[in-house]
Amino acid sequence: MKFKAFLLYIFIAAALAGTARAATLSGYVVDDKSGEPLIGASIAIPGAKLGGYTNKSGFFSIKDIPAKKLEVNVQFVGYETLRRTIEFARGEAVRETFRLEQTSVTLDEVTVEAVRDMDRREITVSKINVPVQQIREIRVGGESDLFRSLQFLPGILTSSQLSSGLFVRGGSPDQNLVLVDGTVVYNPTHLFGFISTFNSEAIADVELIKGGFPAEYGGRLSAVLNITQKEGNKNEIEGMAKIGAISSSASLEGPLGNGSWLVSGRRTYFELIKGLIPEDPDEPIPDFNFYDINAKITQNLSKNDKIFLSGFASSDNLAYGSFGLEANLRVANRLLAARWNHVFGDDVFTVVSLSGSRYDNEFIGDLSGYEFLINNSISDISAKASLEWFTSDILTHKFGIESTKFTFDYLQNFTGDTDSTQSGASGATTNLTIGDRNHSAYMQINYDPIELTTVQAGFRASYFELADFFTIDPRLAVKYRFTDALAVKAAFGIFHQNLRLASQQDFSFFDTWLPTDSTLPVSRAVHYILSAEYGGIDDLDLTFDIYYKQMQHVSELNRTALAGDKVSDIFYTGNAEAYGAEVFVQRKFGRLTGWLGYAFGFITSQFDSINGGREFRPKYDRRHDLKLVVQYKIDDNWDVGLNFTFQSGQSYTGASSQFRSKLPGNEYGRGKIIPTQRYGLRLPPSHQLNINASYAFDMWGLRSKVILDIFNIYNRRDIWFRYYNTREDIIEVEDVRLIPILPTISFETRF
Amino acid sequence: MKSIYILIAAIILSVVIYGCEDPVPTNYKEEYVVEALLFVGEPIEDIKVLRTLPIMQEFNYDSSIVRDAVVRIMGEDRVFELEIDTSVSGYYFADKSYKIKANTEYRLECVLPNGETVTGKTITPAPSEWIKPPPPMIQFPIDTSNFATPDSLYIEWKKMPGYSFYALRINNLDSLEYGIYLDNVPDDELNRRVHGPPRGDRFFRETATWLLAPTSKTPVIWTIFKWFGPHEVSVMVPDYNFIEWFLQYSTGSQYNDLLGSIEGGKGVFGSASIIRDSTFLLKNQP
Repeated sequence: MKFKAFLLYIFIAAALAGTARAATLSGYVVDDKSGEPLIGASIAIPGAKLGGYTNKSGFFSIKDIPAKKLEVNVQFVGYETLRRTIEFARGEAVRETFRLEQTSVTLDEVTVEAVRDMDRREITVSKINVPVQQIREIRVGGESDLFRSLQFLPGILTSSQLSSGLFVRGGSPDQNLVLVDGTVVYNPTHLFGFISTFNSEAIADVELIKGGFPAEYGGRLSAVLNITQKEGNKNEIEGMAKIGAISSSASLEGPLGNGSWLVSGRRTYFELIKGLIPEDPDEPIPDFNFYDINAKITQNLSKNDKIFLSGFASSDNLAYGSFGLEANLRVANRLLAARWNHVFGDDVFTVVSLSGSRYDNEFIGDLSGYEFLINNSISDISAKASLEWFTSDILTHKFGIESTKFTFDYLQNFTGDTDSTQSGASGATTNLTIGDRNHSAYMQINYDPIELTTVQAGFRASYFELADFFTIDPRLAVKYRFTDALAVKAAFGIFHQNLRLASQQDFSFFDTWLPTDSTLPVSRAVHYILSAEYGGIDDLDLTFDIYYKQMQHVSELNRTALAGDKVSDIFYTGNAEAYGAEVFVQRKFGRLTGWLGYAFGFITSQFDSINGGREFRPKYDRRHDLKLVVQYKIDDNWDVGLNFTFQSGQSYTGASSQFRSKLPGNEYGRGKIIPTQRYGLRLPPSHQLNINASYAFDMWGLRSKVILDIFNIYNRRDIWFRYYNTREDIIEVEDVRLIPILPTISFETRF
Repeated sequence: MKSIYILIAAIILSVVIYGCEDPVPTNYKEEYVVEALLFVGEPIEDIKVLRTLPIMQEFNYDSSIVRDAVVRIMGEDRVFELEIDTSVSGYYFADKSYKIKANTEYRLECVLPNGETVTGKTITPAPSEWIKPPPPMIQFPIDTSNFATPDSLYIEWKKMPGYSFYALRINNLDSLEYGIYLDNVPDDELNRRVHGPPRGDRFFRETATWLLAPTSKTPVIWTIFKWFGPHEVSVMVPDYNFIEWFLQYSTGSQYNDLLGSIEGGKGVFGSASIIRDSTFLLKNQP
């Protein structure tokens, strides 16, 4: 019966899908120099009051175009506006590839209006597109880093300067869906959480949705970070090489057949520097390195078919040996994805993909002959298909199905003999392989029922095999434009998450993903968001968001568990809620770009097993969050910028008294404090100012750049954590502080 | 209109203050902690009832001892009324001929000075047996950069059904006198094997070192020895209350209610069986 109703709906929608007399314009918008698709470019036909914008593949389709000669304007930030007159005939399907030329500084009113036009069409609430160029300008230790850049957005909190984990509107980092070319990445960090694994040189587009995301995304409670890798230059070979303080990177791209290729990589060289430092054998410096590599091949098989093969790999390695202890730690990500885009007719865009992703960590230790081994991994194989149907000028459908097969491997051997590993779980060993399958289907529509009003409605149905749990998540977003400059949006959605992450908040040493089994309920969240967007102040965009998020059955790692063979042994589960308001003012174009953001938020949690069952705020709850990012292009050679953040201090737990515990045979024992309300106190505010300057010049005919970064310029040593030192008879309250001023210089050249 | 501005200013001010730093708290709240561990084959003794003390004053263990609690242990259909032993500041059962039995349930009842009663329950584990006891003499490696353990230095004990974790205690019996066997009598610190960074730390003055072993055999881990000389090696089969209290003792400085086993209060009532042997750690430099 439901299927019949669905078919009837499709029939009616098809009947509404334009008239035979109308023409259709579809195609791609690409960079003229490289052939790289431009995501989110605006295509407007003012004479017909019609328009659209490109999807993640750079494709667009506009229907119901009257049969006459009309001007088409194609616009994108940082590019010259392309104007072309096209004679549309009755029933004609016009296919075009619009090639836009870059401009150095975009100031013209038309471009501003183009961006405004794109924003006017955008329905998704709390979505931020940070220009990739701005991401490259925000650096820590000379490393431009995607996650560090996103941390400068309001409402995105961190546990400390050491962590690049994104706490979005009260959600923990494991509640964020991180996608690279549509494939999930499970541990997107280097240096055990300090920076992200994504090389900004390989990124074409970054889209962050802080809440209320549409039905096409699922499996996470809080946010979506959708990263699209560059396809590579289709016209000529070009490259970049960069020498930085932490790592060096290079990228190379060029044409291949009827498409392109791209390879980009980054590697540290600490081991080379370490060789120059005199080493004390009793206190050796650990060996450390990380690398990441991105690669992508794209081929146009026909005007309607395009295939992609993309890969990503990263690895962090740490080795230490001294005084009877030998230890090796490795953390690695691997990802391989194949995708086929096909256009049916001129209005149906389909994507079929097959991908695999794997994350694993391994720790091998040997303490005077007592061996121990940890090796945990998550791997998935996913098949996805989506269909985007540009039904009419006022209606777009999107359907999709996804199926993912997970394999979780846990190996922990503390028997003292790593050769003795056996299957199963006992006190000293856990050697388990758990399989799970998740299946999802979704449908969403973008519909303009009346002028000035847009509705995005959809639902996502999911089945989690191991938990034997079926969910239907409705999603709804409504936008009403009061004026050309002012729009109000509202969003509601229900979200479910099957995966749980066992992790430390500040370091990602042994991040371990687990599925929800029958011993725990699947996590659930409900988002309510109200947003106002105003574009009436020169070329500034102002957004004001109010949000409320309820989360049920979320996890907190049980740090006292010694062993377990079910998920409920490893996690406590409880409920949480987050609410707050955010103001965001952004300037995307001109010599002066950047944003100012402020967030005021509350996060509370309640777990039966924690804090005596009483409500508490998490460590990363920060009341105020002020962010400022400014980048100024002085001329063709000089760029300067600054970014500043001010946040309320993070929470910590105080103490009301002390005692000393003595095990039999102990003479002195160990001091213990009796804690007060969990995370009931707040540290001093944290703030820092970072500045950067770059000078571009030609060197042997190559465009090169020297980049100076000063991190934490006024040397504010924020507190990482505060603890009670109970080692001696008088307890001392001690603060462990974070990174001091850190100037770095780096050099890059492009060819 | 003016009042609206004042109201807005007050709201903004209160919002800002709400997110400000809190001072480190100094308020004292007195609480009680019971530390009661029973050992199979040994008398009931050294049961501690402690009063917590203010954070910001020097800790005095003697001041924290509660001497006026009413402590009793029930087991084997008997009630053992305990009394305070002022020499060790712990509660004990006067009849030392009574020894704790294995595989037996014991219950604790303690009436605190504030009138509250806290309770606990433990089931005593059966003792293990040595399969390979520690050798009488162990030579500390001369090459301290190559710390491999010879196969002969494994110790092993009988695995007990239902118990995955064992507690090991290495107790240095004479941290000073080993020096008399050397030509030049060293001062106390010269006889120390570990010259750890926080030398003033109580941990490095403690003669007993504890480990939790998830296995029933282990090589000699050299870093566990803080002194050369004679040592007692004990292997305990702990009940789960004891294991959790070991974690309480050894991890972090903050008391964790989830690692306690006293109903209605804080602390532990646990038990263990114990086997002992001895070894002598020869100094690496002759």
